[in-house]
Amino acid sequence: MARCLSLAVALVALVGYAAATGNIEDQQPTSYTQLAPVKGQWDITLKATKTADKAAFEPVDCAEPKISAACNKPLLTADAKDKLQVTAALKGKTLKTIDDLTPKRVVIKACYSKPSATDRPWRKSNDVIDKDKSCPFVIKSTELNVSSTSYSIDWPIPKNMTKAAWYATVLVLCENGTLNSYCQFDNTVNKTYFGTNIINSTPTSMIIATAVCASIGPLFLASYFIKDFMGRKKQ
Amino acid sequence: MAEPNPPLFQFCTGDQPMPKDSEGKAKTIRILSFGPPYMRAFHLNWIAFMLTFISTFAPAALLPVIRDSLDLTRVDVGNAGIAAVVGAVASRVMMGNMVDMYGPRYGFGFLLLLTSPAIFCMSIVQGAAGFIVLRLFIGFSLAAFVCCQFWCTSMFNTKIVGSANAIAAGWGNMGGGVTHFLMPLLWKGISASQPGFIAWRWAFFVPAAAHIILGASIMLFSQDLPEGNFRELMASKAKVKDRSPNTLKAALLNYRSWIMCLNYGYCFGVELVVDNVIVYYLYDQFRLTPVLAGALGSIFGMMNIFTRASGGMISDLAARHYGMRGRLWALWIIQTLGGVFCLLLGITPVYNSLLATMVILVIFSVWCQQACGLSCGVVPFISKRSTGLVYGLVGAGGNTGAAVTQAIFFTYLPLSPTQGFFWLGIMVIGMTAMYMGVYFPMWGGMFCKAKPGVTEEDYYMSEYTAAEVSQGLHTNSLKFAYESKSERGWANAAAAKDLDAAKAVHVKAGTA
Repeated sequence: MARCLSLAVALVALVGYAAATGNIEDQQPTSYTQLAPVKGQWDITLKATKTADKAAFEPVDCAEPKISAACNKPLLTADAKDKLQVTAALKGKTLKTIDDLTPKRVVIKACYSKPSATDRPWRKSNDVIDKDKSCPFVIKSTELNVSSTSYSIDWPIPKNMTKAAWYATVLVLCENGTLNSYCQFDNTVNKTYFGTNIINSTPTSMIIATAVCASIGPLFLASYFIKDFMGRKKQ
Repeated sequence: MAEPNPPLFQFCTGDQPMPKDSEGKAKTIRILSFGPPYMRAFHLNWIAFMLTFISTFAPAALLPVIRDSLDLTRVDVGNAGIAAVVGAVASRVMMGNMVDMYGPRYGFGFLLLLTSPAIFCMSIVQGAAGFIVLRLFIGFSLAAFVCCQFWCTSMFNTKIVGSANAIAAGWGNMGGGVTHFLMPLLWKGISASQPGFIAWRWAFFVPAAAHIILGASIMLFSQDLPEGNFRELMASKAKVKDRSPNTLKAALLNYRSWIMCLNYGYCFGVELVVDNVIVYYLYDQFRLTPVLAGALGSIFGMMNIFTRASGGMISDLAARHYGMRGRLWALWIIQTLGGVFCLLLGITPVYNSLLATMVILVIFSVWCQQACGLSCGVVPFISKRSTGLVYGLVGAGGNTGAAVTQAIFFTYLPLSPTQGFFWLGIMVIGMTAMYMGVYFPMWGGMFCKAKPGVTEEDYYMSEYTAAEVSQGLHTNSLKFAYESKSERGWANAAAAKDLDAAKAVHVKAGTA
């Protein structure tokens, strides 16, 4: 009885924790539609290391969102060696935000292109920025510098990046009372996409280990019955 | 003076001789003992069955990583889930026949050892097609249910067989919950030294290796029956090989097999569907993190630690007072309640609240899994000659129900998951009414009393022809018939005292 009660208390505590943490937002929800009036203030350029020696950055010049598009080749490999250089430069001298809020932070993200999110609800985009699942990778997150109008980063393609076509999004966070909220955004939709491929996730050692271990079960069965048959023959 | 019955559980380690009945079956469950043959069989049984659940649902537990690694779509994920349960439909029927002829030890050995290559190969799968095919092959291992139930029925007395079956199957089914937190933990541990897309592949080596260890252990260290192994007993003619096609007929032409088969799809089948969808449902509906959604979702499967066993105990308790009629009534009431609570998951005040959803989910899991335990309190009595095949049919019905309900309510129809739960609940309530049609002439049904003059021997001997009786194929069934008189309950037992054995009525097992 005591064990059942303690199990019930643990269950209620877990559910209560989930209920409490599942819905807390430390930001006021904002939608892309709300930010549309202040879109278009950033020039976002993408370059990638597409040569064999990974030394030079070449401009990414592909406006086709499908991963199979010729302009998306060669795909960047998610091995932390291939790199993407993202530069976000303000077109004007100052940044205009929604409701004239004070900008504090710039976040640059990689987002799935529409064909790469089709039939995959776990990558679904949402107009409410906090509920948008289509931008899982943060390329750069930095405090906004009033004296700087350009932000750049050489981003190694991370090892957990999937096979997909992507675009870059710049989001600006502002102070809004005691909370933060998104107050401006821009992206490279219909302008520039880049494609990635996953790492080689089946090394030779894994293939050999699989072949060896997979044969153990059937071999054991075979030897068991051969031994059994030989034993019966002797009798 | 008859010996008093031992308690259902004994907590000794097994130094004293096990109390046995006239069939040599154990009359108690010594849960802390690992002694041969009874308790060793019991513990290897549930551990092996749990392992098959862990392996079958391991891909589902790691799906958030696998779907990106293999570039799967929603339809690929749905088809893989269906393949995992469909594979067991045919394998359970075939396994039923196999255990009847070769015993549960060989059944488990073949299943565990021959599905281990498929689990190892999950490590090197490259795309959706390979993923679906491997889930199909791994899903064959769910035929272990048949071996599990057959083995318990062979080892434990009729008075406690419901409880033994339910505990073994319940702890086995718990694997569906265990895998949801075990596999992500394995993945996380391996990810400390390997990229995530490689780590999930290495993680599958663990359940695959466990398959080999357990399969070999069962083959080498256990036995099929209290008196020995099938093969040795048949060689010494202590057990007669029954390969007659009448074995198949005894199961297939018994309408009770089909009612139980269909309805098992609406208790165990529903449990499999919920195992497949609950983590996604919680993740999408309440925007939880994957780890939290997995932890909360695993509660459903983990409830099997006591729910299915309690279903078996309720079945045995009901039988003690009201016999088979009590088992049937308890089964109908509890499975109907399962349908009601499944329906409640789909109503507005519940699905808008995580707390309400979890409360309803926990209660739903209790009824749903108890119904599975109660089903296995009825199944051993449908046919003695074809026990394995009946278990195979019923087990296959469970997986068929899972595949059909997953396809209808959660994959191909344009229903939201909450609507899916609602209509699934309605369907469970409707299908459960079929239990009203189950009738045993010597014990009665839900609304009908036993037929006067009909005995257990009449029912179980009707599965054999006169020629088969003369060969001695019927002897085990005769012993079972004697032990199953406990299913009369106190009301029928009083009436049966006046029965004139010389006027025994011959009835077909397949008819009312």
